[in-house]
Amino acid sequence: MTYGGGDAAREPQLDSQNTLKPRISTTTNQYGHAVSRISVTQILEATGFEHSYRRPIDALADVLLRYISHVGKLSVSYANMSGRIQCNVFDVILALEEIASVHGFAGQSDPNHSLSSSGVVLDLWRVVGKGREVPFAGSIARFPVTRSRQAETSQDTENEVEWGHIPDWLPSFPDPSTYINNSVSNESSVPRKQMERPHFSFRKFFSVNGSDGFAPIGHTNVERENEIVQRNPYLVPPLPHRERQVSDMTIPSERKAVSVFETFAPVIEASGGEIVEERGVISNKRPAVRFRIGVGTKSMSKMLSLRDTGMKEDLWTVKEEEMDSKKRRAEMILKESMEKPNELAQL
Amino acid sequence: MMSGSGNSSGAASTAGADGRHDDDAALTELLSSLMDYTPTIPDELVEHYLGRSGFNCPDLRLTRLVAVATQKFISDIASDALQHSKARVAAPIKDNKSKQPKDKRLVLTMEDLSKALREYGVNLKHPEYFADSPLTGTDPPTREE
Repeated sequence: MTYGGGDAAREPQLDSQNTLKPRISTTTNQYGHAVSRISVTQILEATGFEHSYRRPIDALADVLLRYISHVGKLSVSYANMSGRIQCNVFDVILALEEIASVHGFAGQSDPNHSLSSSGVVLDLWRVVGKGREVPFAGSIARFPVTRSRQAETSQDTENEVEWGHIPDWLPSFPDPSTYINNSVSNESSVPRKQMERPHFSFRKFFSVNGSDGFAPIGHTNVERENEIVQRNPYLVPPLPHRERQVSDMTIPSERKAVSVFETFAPVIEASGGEIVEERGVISNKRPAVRFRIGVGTKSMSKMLSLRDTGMKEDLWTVKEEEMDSKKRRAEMILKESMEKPNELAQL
Repeated sequence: MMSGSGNSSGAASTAGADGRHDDDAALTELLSSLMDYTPTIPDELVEHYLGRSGFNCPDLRLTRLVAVATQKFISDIASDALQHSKARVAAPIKDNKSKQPKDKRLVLTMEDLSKALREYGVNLKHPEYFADSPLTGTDPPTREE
């Protein structure tokens, strides 16, 4: 019987007609679905179909798995109603009757009909009695396959006592020396042991991974500490005071205030630096920014330049000789600023 | 698991030991022949999915019983779909001018399957198209399902 395509892939793939294949969710479902698809194909072939598309086979495989789950669930519910946890054949027959009641089976109308000779049993007997069995193509192993646990080889298992009432999958008991304190009486150690029974062994867990940073407190002694120290540099205890000589830090003395003017002396000289030579140290006030105020207003530029020098004299009471010299200097600055507009802000 | 003479379900059988014997005969023979008959559905698959539903029974015959019941269910659906497919093939062609002969192959399509499943209470609706490609909605007969 021809089959419409390959196996269902985990990721959607495009087939020749550019339609997406459906994605199957989990691996267990994928495996069960694939096996049921084979069974469905065999059943369809036995029924008489020669060809089929992929989607009807997927749908029928899904129906098959749902049917099995449904029968199981109904059987369990009938067993539970009878006060049992294990199902027997009559629970299964009741479940099959309930499913077949939609379609109808022989003897359904009789409320007192025997289950042993129920219509569903007779139908099944007809199927089996025909003898046309089509066994499953190939053989499959029991699934899902559970990975066997690795045998623990740590030293804890050497002292393990085989307790019959404690399952194997529980973690092992901690080392008795971790919780048995010699100074404490025996009565108090017993409840402690019971309290610590489900304790997760961090030491074992981390020893497997190669780090011993989480060793329990009660377990360490000097040798073990040294061992840890040798392995992990971050666990080195801090040095006591003055154990290691460290050179004193030299704190530089108070420096003189940096004179910006010294550093920018060549720049200032180029622009006529006599204005600022009176000042030695930078004042705390923020220096003003020199604005380009326009060519014609020479008096404004002069006012600004005079302010920079910190002169508090009233501008308008300056004598004319000083006005002339200052006027000449202002003109020079203006000329300078017009030639080099980028160097206006000198401070 | 099978009680030889008693019915634990409580359903009353016909009066007399012979009647009871007849009633059980079918079931007895069915269960005994199950070990010889290999269903198409493998036991491991049935056991896994029964276990997922909480079905707990160590008896292999019950697993085989469920497998046979499932096989019968699927084969009933398949035969119904086959009837629908044959009915489609045997239907007279509307357009007598077409030169294509009616396809005599028996192919299981979603349409036949959904018709067959509807009688069993399973709603299988296949959408006409998926709007995921530029060819969507164009020329349905030539597009594969």
